[in-house]
Parts: sequence; structure tokens; C-alpha cells
Amino acid sequence: MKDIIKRIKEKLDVSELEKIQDDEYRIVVKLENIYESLVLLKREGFEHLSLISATDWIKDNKFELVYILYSYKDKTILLVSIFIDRRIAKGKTIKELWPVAATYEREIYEMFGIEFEGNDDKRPFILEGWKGMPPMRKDFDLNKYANKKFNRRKYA
Amino acid sequence: MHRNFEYYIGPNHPGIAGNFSIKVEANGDTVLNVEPEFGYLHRAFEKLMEDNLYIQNIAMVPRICVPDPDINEYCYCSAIERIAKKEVPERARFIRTLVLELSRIAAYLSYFGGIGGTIGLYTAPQWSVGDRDYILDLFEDLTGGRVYHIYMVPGGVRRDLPEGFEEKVLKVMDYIEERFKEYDDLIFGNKVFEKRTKGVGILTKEKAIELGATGPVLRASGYSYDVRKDNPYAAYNKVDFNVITAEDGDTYSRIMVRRREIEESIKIVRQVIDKMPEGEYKNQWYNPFKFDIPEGRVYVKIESSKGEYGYYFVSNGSDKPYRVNVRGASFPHIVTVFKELTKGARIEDIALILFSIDACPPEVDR
Amino acid sequence: MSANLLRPIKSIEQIFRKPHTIRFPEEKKEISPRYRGFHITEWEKCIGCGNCRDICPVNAINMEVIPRLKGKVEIGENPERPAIDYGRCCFCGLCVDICPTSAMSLSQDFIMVEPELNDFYFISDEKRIDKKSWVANEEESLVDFKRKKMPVLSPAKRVKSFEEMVLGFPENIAIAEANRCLECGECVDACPAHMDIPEYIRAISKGDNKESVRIMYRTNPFLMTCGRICTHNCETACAVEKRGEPVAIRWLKRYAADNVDIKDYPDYKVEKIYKKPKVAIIGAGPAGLSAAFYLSINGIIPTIYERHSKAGGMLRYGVPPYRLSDKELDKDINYILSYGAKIKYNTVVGEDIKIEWLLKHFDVVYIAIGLQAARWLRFPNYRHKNIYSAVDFLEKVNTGKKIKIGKEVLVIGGGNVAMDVARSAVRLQHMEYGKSNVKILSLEAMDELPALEEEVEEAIEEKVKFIPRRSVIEPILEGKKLIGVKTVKVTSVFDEKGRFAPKLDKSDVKEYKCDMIIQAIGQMCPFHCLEDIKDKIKMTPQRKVEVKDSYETSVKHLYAGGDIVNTRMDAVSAIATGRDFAFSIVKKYLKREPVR
Repeated sequence: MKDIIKRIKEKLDVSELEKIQDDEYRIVVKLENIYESLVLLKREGFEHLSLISATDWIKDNKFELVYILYSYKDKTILLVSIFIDRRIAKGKTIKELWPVAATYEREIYEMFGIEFEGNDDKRPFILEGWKGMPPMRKDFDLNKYANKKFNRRKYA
Repeated sequence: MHRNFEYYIGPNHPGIAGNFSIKVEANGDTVLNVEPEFGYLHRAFEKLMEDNLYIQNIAMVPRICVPDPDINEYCYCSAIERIAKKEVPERARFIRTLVLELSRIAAYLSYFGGIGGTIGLYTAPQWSVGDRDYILDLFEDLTGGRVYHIYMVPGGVRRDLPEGFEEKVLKVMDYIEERFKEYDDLIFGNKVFEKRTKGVGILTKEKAIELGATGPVLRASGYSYDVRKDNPYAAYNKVDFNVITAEDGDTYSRIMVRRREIEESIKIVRQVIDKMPEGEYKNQWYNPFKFDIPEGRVYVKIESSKGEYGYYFVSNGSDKPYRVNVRGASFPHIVTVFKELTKGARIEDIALILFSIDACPPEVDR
Repeated sequence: MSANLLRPIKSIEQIFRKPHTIRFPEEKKEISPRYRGFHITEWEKCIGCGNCRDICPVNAINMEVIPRLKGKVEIGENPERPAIDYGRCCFCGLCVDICPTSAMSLSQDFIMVEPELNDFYFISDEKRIDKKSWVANEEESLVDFKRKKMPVLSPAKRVKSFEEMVLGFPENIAIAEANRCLECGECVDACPAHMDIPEYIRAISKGDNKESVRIMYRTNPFLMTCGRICTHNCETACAVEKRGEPVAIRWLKRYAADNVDIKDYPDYKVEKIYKKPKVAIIGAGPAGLSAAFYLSINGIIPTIYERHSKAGGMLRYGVPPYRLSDKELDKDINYILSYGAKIKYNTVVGEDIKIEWLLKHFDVVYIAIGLQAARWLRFPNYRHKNIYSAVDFLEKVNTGKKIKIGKEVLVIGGGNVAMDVARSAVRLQHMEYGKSNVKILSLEAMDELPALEEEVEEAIEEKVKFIPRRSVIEPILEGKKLIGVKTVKVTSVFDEKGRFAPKLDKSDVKEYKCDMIIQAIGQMCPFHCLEDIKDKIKMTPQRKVEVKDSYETSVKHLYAGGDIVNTRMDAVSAIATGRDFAFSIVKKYLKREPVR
């Protein structure tokens, strides 16, 4: 394991640590500590935020938020994962650390319905005039919606 | 006395790359705030990919980014190979590198045409579209399709190199290298171009990483970070090339970084053709109706012509992907870098700044 | 580079250059030999399996039924051809890569101008263009054409005893073989019992053998048996067989059945035992026991009358132990009988019990007695003590009775039974003398033999010699001892209409040495049990009992099934008739859908 990962393991409250490949690791932390953990990681050299992504684990009734960080000094990718309850669906914003996070959070609110405390920007990002349930959730059936809204061309 | 006006630079405009609109708030000629608006190209790829088998998705994935489609095929196949721990033979890696670099050259050629169009020099798009066509002919010989190749599969590539392909590639590379002298005369050595781009839209070194810049935008501000050198993939650790940087961070440096990178790409293509090994061109994965991969998550990133392009891939052990999230390289560029650079710029500079960041709305909307 | 205002003016010299563009349509561009354009489908090669429709990422392909092909297709083919919607097609070429017979390919055609929208959806064939450009040969195809090898005993080792020849797949090879199946379903129609083959192979590929056994029991209760001796019509129909080796369906069935213990077999919950109808089954062979199983799990407990002392019929007394031994057959039979059916052994209907008594005391009587008597070639002295019938010989082999095997054995016949007899004789000779000398003499030529190809190949490996295209005239006796046969040449076996009418060339006479002859030319049923109602029962011209769809004969409440009804006489067809008879009884008397 790399030195930097060892240091992170000591300083943060990590519940799972997994090595995906030589230069990519994954850790799981709790929702309450996410802001402090990211501040610490940014100081350790993980200064680039690539992506914030969300996954809907409908069978376990959880959402998983993944913050993908990269350290230019150590050339390591780190996936920081937190699990939040699916019915409450609330996270914490980190837009003060990285300005681009505000837009990622705005997109996740639109696609999954997860609210971020401290980020009140709820304007639609991609969808216009959308009134149904957040479409990337697993209980939204895309085939049913497409068949209802669009006509399939019938050939003679 | 000036008042604040709101302007809409809408989706159909020669100064906009692709389809998205900008709401500009300006006082006289000086821009106060820009607000990009997306959504014109949303095709719901991420949700559609969850409904298809793994092999059915390779026909859908190149359509995410139009000028540079092979980056999507590569990332998708590489994510599956890393989760399932499948080996890719040596020759397949070299062929994939060749395809990625040819795609980068084609994307840069159409980019130069776009730059010419933005400053009103319409001769440049005419030339670059014609030159790019020779590269599309090469792709037609190799893969059977001109724009969307559908050529890489998990485990390698679909067909081997045809007869006489290497000579054709080298001839096209020689031709493009000769044309650079003429492009230099036309655009890059043009005094008008220099005056319009020097000192415009400066991205300082301190703010570059925090705003999320990657790729040529970051390298023009002084950092020498390139995914091909830092986390090598395919056959990039076996070829020799330089990472191009510049110091000023303005529009002129961003465009000139790309102008010099295309020469490095031609160097890489020549080395790949020279060092191409013999062997298998794929590690065949039979029977697409029954291929499952184990559970896992991975983030794969590569260097596209626009910056860092990545796929976050989650699999739950079945025969369909569970979650695929595409990280477009120009997402942070359009959303935060663009806003930062246009503070205090003039209205006529908006289009140039946008082009210098190389915005690609299909990647943002997916 | 130094910039100035005059450099761009140099571009004026472009005027004097040749343009990149091609003057279409006078000049035409050279299209690459790998271009992906419109489709070409060769109807001769296409088998209508539908794999192209299953893999298309955009659902652009539909399979349309072609009326003029109905009834003219062979086994394993459908009278359907692909129709493509070019409004949806993305020209990816995956349908070409998956086509098992290489009927689909893409061409260099890319221009289509039609005034009507409906013209963009049409059934693909070769009329538009016939120049192929994107094709998939065996190496490039996504289908795995090579079968994984089944471990078997070597010929030198296996002729020394009656030990089972096939050793069975280990787990990783079984899963790899199951992963070759494309799930197209061509095998289902070809199977006489219409088993759910793609589903149970899928369960095996996921490692779930119990689920696989449960799916198999919906249609067939003889898994250990069919997994060893079935004539595998499904493998002949497999889509992969057209360019490679078919999926080993029979060995996969054997793998799943071998690896599930009888206590993990499916547990059918019988809610109620019905007193009516009372069912009697004559014959505890594959048809009779299959009927008994499907009636028992639906609550009707039949009574079975069997002439031998053990159940199984031809499966026990006709199949030699190196192909199916008693232990495996007993696993199948014990599970069938565990639902309550009772067998009265050593009872011959026609002698110990009369058929009319059964018709009076039972509501339904089912005859499944099979063909127990031998057909004889009646040359002079055909009743010599060293001339045996196949039925007799195999019964002695299977019950372990002592046979004085000759030193040079001649087997007459060309079917599967002749192969069984010859290979058993080889083993008996090895056990007695240490070496073998067995010859098979048949009317047919080597490529016309009715036996399965693999049986003939295995017989050749065990050093059986073949004498094709000859017919025995008479045996040669020295006093009372049999020392040889006299044979003549056969010029043809079938006439122009395909009927059995052998022509002999009596001038070409050859003699062969032998001291034992076994006749394996066929079997028949003497119908002793039906003596009393002989006038009332109707027979077909081929001497089979005539039955309706529900398997009822011309005598009311008398049903028949198995070899006495089928023209295709193998185990799985008999099992299918037993099952269908049981379902028809459940529907008629209990007025509900049967449980499977």
C-alpha cells in the first residue's frame, strides 16, 4: 500500500479500505465527517476533484455518493464513498472547497433527488419542465415512459 | 452612462461550439456575468446503458462525443477489463493507441477550423475539414465506419489491421505535416489572430487546479500534467513524447499548446507503426448473451483532446451494467473556468475564450 | 513564429492545387473492403434462429414468417427471415458477428433514396446488392465453435469390462460448455419431449444444478437415463452445429443430474389423492413409468403390471451396462415411484390377467409394452443353437446370465442395437479369451448405416470390423457345428421412392468364418395381451396401434403409447407419449391444468 494511503488511514475514521488497482483506492467514511475528511485530504495533496457521482442501491435502501479525488503529487486516484439513507436523501455541500462541486450537486439533485445542505441552487440543469420523479432512480421505468410519450412508427 | 443589458447567445450561433446557450449580463461592452444553459443535447445515455447487455452498449457509447468518439469506446472497454481482470494482448494495445491518436489528430484539425471560424477567417474550416477527411478515410479502411467506429470490444479490437494499412497511415501523416506550414501562414502566424488572443482570458496558476481545469487548459497555465505520462494506459508507456506547456495562461497559449501537441501526436503515430508487435489482436470473449463480470467499481481516466475524460463504472455481478457515469472533460471548463475568465472581458472575446477552452456540450449533457 | 499581416496572403497559391473533393456522380469514391453498409442475408444459409434479433442494440430486426418456406424446412430451422427497420439500424455489425451460420453480412451499399417511408422497412435478402464487405469468419465470430472434450476411458481399457465408458464433466468444464449456448431455442422444437433446454443450460452455467433439475422435471422424469443414452435430436438441431460442434446438451443434462442428490430433488406437494379415475398401466418401461410419474404428482395413483421382475423395460434389459448401468436407472425409477405408484412384478397380461378384466375393473387402461419380440431373418437353419436374437442376447448380458460367447462372432444388422450387441460381444470375448474378433455385416453401406455416427466410431475404436453391403444367404454347418456364413453382394437398399427394397447380386458370393451369429435386424410386438380384443383394435399400415391426439385407441378407455405407437422408436419419444397421455387424463377427468 502506498505511504499516502497509510497516512490517510491513520488520520481519518475509515470504515473500509479497498485497493482497486495499483494507482486507485477506495475508502468509505461517514456522512457526518465528510466535510472535515475532504479538507484533510485536500491538504494532503488531493487537490483535484474529478467527479461527484451518485448510485442508487434500491435493494439496500441507500444512496451512495462518491467523491473522486486525484493527487498530482502521488499520482493516485482516491474514491471517497459515503452512504446515505434513501428516504431522507440529504447530503452536505462542499462548494466552498471546490467551486465546480456546486454544479455537480445541482445535477445530482435533479437526477436523483438528493438535497445538499448549504447548496440552495435547485434550478434545473438539463431537464426542462420535468414534473415526474427524479429519472436516474432505479424505480423510474424508462421504457414505460418512452412508450407512453412517444409513438412507435408503424410500418405497413 | 451605460446600463446593464441581458443578451442571449443562443444555441444556433457561429460563435458557439455545439449546442448550448449563454445568458450574458453586460454593461456596455464589458461582461459582468455569464450563465451557460444546457440541456439541448440530452439523450439519456446513462440510463439507457443500464438496460442493455454489455456488448450492446458498445454500439451506443461512441455517440456521446462526436468529434472524438474513440475515447468513449476505450474507457468503456477498459473499465470492463479492469473489473473482470482480463488481459489485453500487446498488439491490441498498440492498435488501440493508434486509433486514439488518429482520433486526437482529427479532433484537433476540426478544432483549428473552429478557431478560424470564430475570428472570421472562414478559409481555415474549409481546409481543415478537407484534411480531416483523409483521416476519416483511414478509419474507414480499418474499422468500416467513418465517424462512429464501434471498433473496440472488451478484450481487444474487432478486426486486425488490413493489408497495406501502415503505408497509408504514414503517407497521411507526411501530408498533414506538410500542411502545417500552410496553417501557420494562415492562422497561427496571422497578426490579427495574435492581437485578438494575446492577453485575453488569463487563467492564473494558483486558481487553475481549484477551478477544475485539466488537459491543455491546465498545461497552458504552467503545469506539466498529462494522464498519458502520469497514469499510463494502452501502449503509452512504450512510446516517447514530450508534454507541452506554456507559461502565460491566456487564450493564445492555450491554442498554441494544442498546435504543438498535434506534432507530438504525429510522432507517436509513427513510433506505434514502427514498433507494432505481432500476435493476437483480441482475447476473445465468447457468447455475449452469457457474459457476466464480478462485482466491483472502478474509475478509468484517459487524456482526450479536451482534457481528462473518465468513466465511473459500477457492476453488481449481473450481465448488465449497474451504473455508468461519464465525466466529460469540458464540464468544469464550461461551468466554472468560463465564468471566471469572462469577468471583465469584452463581448467579442466570449466566443474566443469559449473556443480556447474547447467546450463540447455533448459531453456535458450526455 | 513571427506573425505579420502579410503571411496569410500566401494561401492564394491554393487556387492552383487539385481540390480534395470528388466530382460525384461522375467520379466514384473507392469504398473500403470493410465498409458497413446495408445488409445482405443469404436465405439458403439462414436458419431463422433469431440471434440477430436478440443482439441488436436498437431492436431494429424482427423475424417475419415466410409462407412459402413453411413445411419445407429441415430440423433445427425456422421458416422465418429477418426484416430490418433502417430507421433504427445503427450499422454496428453485431448481427453479423453473432450469426452462427454466416448468413448475415454487410455490403458496400449506402445510398437509398425512396419516396415512401414504408420502403425503409423490408425483409433482407440478396436482391439489392450481392457484394459483401463486412463478414465474420470462424475466428472473428462471437460464437465459440469448439466443444470442450468429454473425458472417456481409452479403447484398450474399456473393452476389458462393462464399466461405464464416459466419465462425466468436471465442474469448470461443464460451466464452460454451458456458456457456449446462444439460447436461440432451435433445440426445443427438435426434442421429441420439447424440454426447456435453454433455461436449464442457463441454470447450469450459473452453477445452480438444483434449479436445472427442477426445470428438467417439468418435461422428463428420466434424467440420469437420457443424460446417457438419448439420441440427442437437440444437438443435431443446435444452431452452433452448422459451422462447428454443437453444444453438448446430453452431457450437460448428465452433469446436472449426477451432481444433485436424490434428497435435493424437487418436492411436489400432492394436495389430494383422487379415487377416480382408477388407472392401470401395462408395462413399466419408459412410457409407462413416465405416465405413472405425471399421474402421481397430480394425485392419481396408477397400478402398473410388469412381466419382468424389475422395472425399466428396454432401459434395463436392452441397453448394455457400459452405457447405462442399473445404479443410475434405479435413481430415476426410485424417485418416480416415491410418489406412490405400485408395480405388480412377474405379471403377464394376456396369460396371468386378461385385458377384459382390466377394462372392467379400471376406468383407464394404458398399454406401453414396447417391442419385446425379435424379428428373424429366416434363412435355413435359422433356429440353430448358436444363432441368437439381439433381444435375447442383451437380456442375458444385462441380467448377468452366463453366455458361452464364440471365438468369432458375426452380428447381422446396422442399427444402434447391432452396435450395442457387437460391443458387448467384444467385452465378453476379452473377459473370456483376452482378445476379440467381432464382425458386423449390414445391408447398408458405411455412410448409410442407421446407427448414430458416434456409436459407429466407438465400435471401430474397439476394433469391430464392418462388412457393408452384403446379405446372408445361409449359414455353413459342419455336421452340427456352425463354422461360417455364405453371403451375396447387395447393390442397393432403397428404391427411388425411398422404400426398403434391397437388390441382390447373386453372382458375387463370399464366405466368412464365424462360430456364433447374433441377428439384430429389428424388433416387433406380437400383441399377445390384446388377443381377446384383436378384432376391435385398429392398426396403422405400419403395424402400429392407431391412436388419437389423447392417445386413446379405437377401443373406449383403452390408451396406448411408447414404441407400439411411435414410428420414431427411441426412449425420449416414448417418455413424451407417456407424459402427454398423463396430462390428457388429468385434463379430462380432473378438469384442470396438470401440475408439472
